[in-house]
Amino acid sequence: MVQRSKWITVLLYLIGIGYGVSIILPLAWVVMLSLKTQLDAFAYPPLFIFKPTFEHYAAIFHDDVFVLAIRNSLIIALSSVFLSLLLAVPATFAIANLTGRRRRLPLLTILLIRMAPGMIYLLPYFAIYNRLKLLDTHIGLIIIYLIFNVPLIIWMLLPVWNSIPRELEEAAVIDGATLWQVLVRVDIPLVRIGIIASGILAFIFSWNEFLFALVVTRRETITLPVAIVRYMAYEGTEWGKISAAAVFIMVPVVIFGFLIRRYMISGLSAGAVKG
Amino acid sequence: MHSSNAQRAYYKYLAPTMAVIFLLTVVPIIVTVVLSLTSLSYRSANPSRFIGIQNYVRLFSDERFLNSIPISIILIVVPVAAQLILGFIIAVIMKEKLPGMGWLRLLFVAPMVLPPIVMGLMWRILFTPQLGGVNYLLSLVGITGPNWLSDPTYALLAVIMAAVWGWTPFVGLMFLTSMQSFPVDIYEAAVIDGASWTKSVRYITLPLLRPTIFVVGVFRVIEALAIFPIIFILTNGGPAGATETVNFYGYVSGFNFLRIGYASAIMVFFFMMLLLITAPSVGFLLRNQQMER
Repeated sequence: MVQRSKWITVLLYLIGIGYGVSIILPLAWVVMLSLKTQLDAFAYPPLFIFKPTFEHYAAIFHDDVFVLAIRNSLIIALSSVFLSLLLAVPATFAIANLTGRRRRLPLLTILLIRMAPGMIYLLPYFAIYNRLKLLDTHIGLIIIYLIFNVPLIIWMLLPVWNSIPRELEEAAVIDGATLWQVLVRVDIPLVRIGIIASGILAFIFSWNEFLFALVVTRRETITLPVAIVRYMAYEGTEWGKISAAAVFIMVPVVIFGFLIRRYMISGLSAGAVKG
Repeated sequence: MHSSNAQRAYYKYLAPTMAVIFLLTVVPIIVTVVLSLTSLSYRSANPSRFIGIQNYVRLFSDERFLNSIPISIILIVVPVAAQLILGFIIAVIMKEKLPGMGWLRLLFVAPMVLPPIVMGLMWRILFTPQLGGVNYLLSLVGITGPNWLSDPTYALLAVIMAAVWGWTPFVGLMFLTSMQSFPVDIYEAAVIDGASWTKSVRYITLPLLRPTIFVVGVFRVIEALAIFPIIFILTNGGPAGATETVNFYGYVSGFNFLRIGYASAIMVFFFMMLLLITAPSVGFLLRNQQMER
């Protein structure tokens, strides 16, 4: 490595630490706010040491709408992940074994869909669902999330799948295995960690999704990100409750994010950056 | 195994998935284009009828729409430029593997997976006087903070700050991953030639990273164009349209004003903007490493 001068080292430390603090501080602020009483929340200068209260967490779990939103978010995210894997895993198996144009064409299609912002599908889904009576149903949102999750999973799984030694598959075929048996008995066991990681990334996406949930859900299928916006609208001054809800929504995804951090690059960059 | 016939056997594993994805994406896009040629409005009692390109003609005399185009452009250019520059600096720092700085990389995960709506809410809290910490921090260095969210210029700045906070870690991590694949011997040769550290960053790291900067930049631009939840909760497009982007106005037209036909025209325009920006990068995407086996 090229030698740095002492001054540069000091500068790098300063920028690095400063940047780290700027990431932590906003998050810590919301966590602290969720543990402060209404009186402490508005104290000036802000209190950094205070007697924590869990009243806001107790309050959100006694709120029927919030509890319903937890249930809806879980149903929608888990079902969408399950269906997405069902579609994406065989497709990845096929793409990994195809070559030339047969490979590039589906991959490019999937990449373009992966990159297109959801906004462009918003109005037609609203109009179509309005006609088909799919507004405010779980299945309505589950279907929409396939658009984002299937390409995400394929792009995340493909590098993992490509790392399977071809000899293993070829040996299985010589032994008389059908393609289906190669997929189920040979490949899936080898890429299972990748499947789990891509499933988790798809779960994070579905759990976080706001735009479609806002537009196609109503009272019955409200999800957590929409529920928190309702809090803002109706209880605009109850910042303790709002922060507690925010912390509750982000904790699972942050934990999942730590677990799959190694795999996230290929999923999020769609293979554009060597990982 | 690689004959044409053998390859065809894989189609049945691919075809259902492609069919579903195609149905779920292409049909809605066609529907949007069709709707954009109608007068469909859920608020008006008049039946929807075909009106040709009238919605598009009207767009260009709609001041609110014309105002949203530069806002969209500002909210692409400024945050993405800041993310690329800051991301580069952070990636360079992490590549140095400074003792005791490993935790920084772990921290990156949080903004990357944070629900965008929570991110927006967090900044809403931070920018709220008394409640949030931004103005308190400024007061520590003797600056009286502005009323962020009710002043048009500062509201735009607030959205930019939130976007930079949220997506710099993604950029930094992409850069770092790419940098780790750079050949070590180039740096060793630089040492022999007596190059300084700053020169090695400027003349080795930066040029080698250029393709990655381009790809990550394209990704960020596309996502920045579609920024929504942060604006929704932080400023709701205000004050006085100061943070209303094209797609946000499309949302408002469709779901607040219920003018579905007109809103569809805005979305088609938005889609065209997107294609225009991404078209030059398609060649690059084709050179993606996963395209060949």
